[in-house]
Amino acid sequence: MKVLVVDDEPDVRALVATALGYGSGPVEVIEAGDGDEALAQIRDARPDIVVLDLALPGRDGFSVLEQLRRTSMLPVIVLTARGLEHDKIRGLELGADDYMTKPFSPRELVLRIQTVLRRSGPQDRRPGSIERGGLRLDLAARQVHRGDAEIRLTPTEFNLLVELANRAGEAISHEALLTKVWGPEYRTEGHYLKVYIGRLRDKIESDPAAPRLIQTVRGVGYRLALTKD
Amino acid sequence: MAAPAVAANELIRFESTFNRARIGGAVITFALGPFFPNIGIQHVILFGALLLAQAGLVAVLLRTERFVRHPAKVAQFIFAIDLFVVSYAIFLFAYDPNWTTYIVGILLVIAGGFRFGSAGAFGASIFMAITYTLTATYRAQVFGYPTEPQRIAFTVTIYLLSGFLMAGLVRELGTLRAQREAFDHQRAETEALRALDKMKSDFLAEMSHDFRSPLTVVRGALEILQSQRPGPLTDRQQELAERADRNVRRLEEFSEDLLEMARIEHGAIDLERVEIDACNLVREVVEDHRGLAQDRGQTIELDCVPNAVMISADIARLRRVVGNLVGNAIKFAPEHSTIVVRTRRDESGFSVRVIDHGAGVDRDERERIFEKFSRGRRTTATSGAGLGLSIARSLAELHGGSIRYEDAVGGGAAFVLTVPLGLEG
Repeated sequence: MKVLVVDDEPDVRALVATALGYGSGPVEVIEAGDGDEALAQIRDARPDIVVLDLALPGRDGFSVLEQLRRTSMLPVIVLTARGLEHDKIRGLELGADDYMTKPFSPRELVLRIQTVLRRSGPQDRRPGSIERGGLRLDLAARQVHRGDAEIRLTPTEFNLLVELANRAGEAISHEALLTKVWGPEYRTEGHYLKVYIGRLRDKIESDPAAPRLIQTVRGVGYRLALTKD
Repeated sequence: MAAPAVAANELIRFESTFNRARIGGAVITFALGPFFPNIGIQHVILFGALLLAQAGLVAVLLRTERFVRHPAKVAQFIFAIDLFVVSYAIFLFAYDPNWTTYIVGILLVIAGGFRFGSAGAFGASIFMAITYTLTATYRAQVFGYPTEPQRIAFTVTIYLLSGFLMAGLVRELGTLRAQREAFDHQRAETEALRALDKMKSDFLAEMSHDFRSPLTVVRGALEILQSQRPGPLTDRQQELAERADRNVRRLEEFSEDLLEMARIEHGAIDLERVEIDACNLVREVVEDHRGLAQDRGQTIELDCVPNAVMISADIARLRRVVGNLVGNAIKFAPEHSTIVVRTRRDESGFSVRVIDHGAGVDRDERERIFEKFSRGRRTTATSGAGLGLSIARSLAELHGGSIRYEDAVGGGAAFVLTVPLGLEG
């Protein structure tokens, strides 16, 4: 596993490297101190995952993420020191797979790296397909079609849609969705769900501003409508 | 001093304009005076010369050191000369008086009022009343007019009345100006305070932000050391690392409190509300705190019924509120005592009552303890910055609820958190 750690503070980079070194399995850690260096390292060293601090001198973490997401689905965990909601949401919206607020526990970071890699890596491919609301979810190929057109989803978006489709017509709580798709430790992290539901709606709803397929059940969670679009 | 300098500049402009009028008046007097045989050529020459002399005197006065130092006094002096000159003019036209004479008199009263306040208005009105009386007498003697005491009394009354009205008007204007100035001053002060407050919370947010990277490194290094991956620790080393770790966490909590405070003050909190089982949340918080209570030999009694009450809450934030109340009870109650956490559902919503058997809170401190950076007198032995309760109350209020203090039955403190019921009650 090759991890790129981007932080302007050498001590933080060294800490993450040390913690990763004591984790399970061989890890190669590469480091970058600013945004441009990070982009160069991603291009040249081809890491498996990036741990990206948002507050960087010059080109900040948001900008790195935005640039990266134009061409790649490389897993990214953002680090934020401000702990502000809108920073977290913006990070997720720009395509971060996870975020951690400083000060974080190195052990937890190592666990999260493993979780994110597992989530975005090769998934268990169950056979079969689900048809709901005019969509056909091919579980083996992990593809979604509306008619003949394929709708391209990221692994997490796909997992979320499968969860909703499995219990279509039922309201599924925030907590249940977070636990199923992200893991039990994320069950109170509503930001993830909010951002990903928004992205799914953008991709599968004919009018994302007035969603008919993925319905919000106030105070409870979300429901995939049974009716055809 | 800046203020007199400004006043002096205004006076120079003002009196320079008047000086042009004085010179113009002299020219008109010299040009037209000879055509008014009743006035007498000696009076015409004297009056014209007087106007020119006054203009010259004013021009000189405005350049003197005395003027720069006491512009108001010099202005009063010039105004007094104005009164004499106008009186003399009225005197000259005594043979042929008409209403313009009185208008000039009244205008002087108004000018006196505006320039020198009540005293100026009264001074000018008395002066003009005397001038009129003298002129009437002179006219009677020289030109044989009837004296008509009633007319003199009437005109004198008009002058005095105008002085009185002008003084009232000036005082009223002064009051209005003072009110506006006080208002402006107050507004400036409020704005300055608000700016200062924003600066302070920006600073706090920035500071606690800057704490975070160093805290990450210290806490992370301690965690790795304690995991003994780099090498085994002796008991003594382990104990030191644990102590350091405990205190790093305190610093962390403190910086998190500062940040949360700044967010609250900036109105930057959007609650992530979900429908949850209220009892479940309280139970989880209590379970998280059992270890801490056990360290102090305390027990926590929890009284709540699961799946009975649903509330709409930001889970992380409401946990923090309940956690603060329970944590405070553990901190402030004596060792080996019992802390009771009792939940109720009533018409006002869902309430959590955290009751301890500590010293309680003095009557005069019961509101103050909810203010930021305040701590009760009896809490000196226990650490904390005094932000917890203030944050807890703000978060409770964001949920549409409240936190209040009550005396516990049998001594001690009871803090009562109330939040509204959720959609499904």
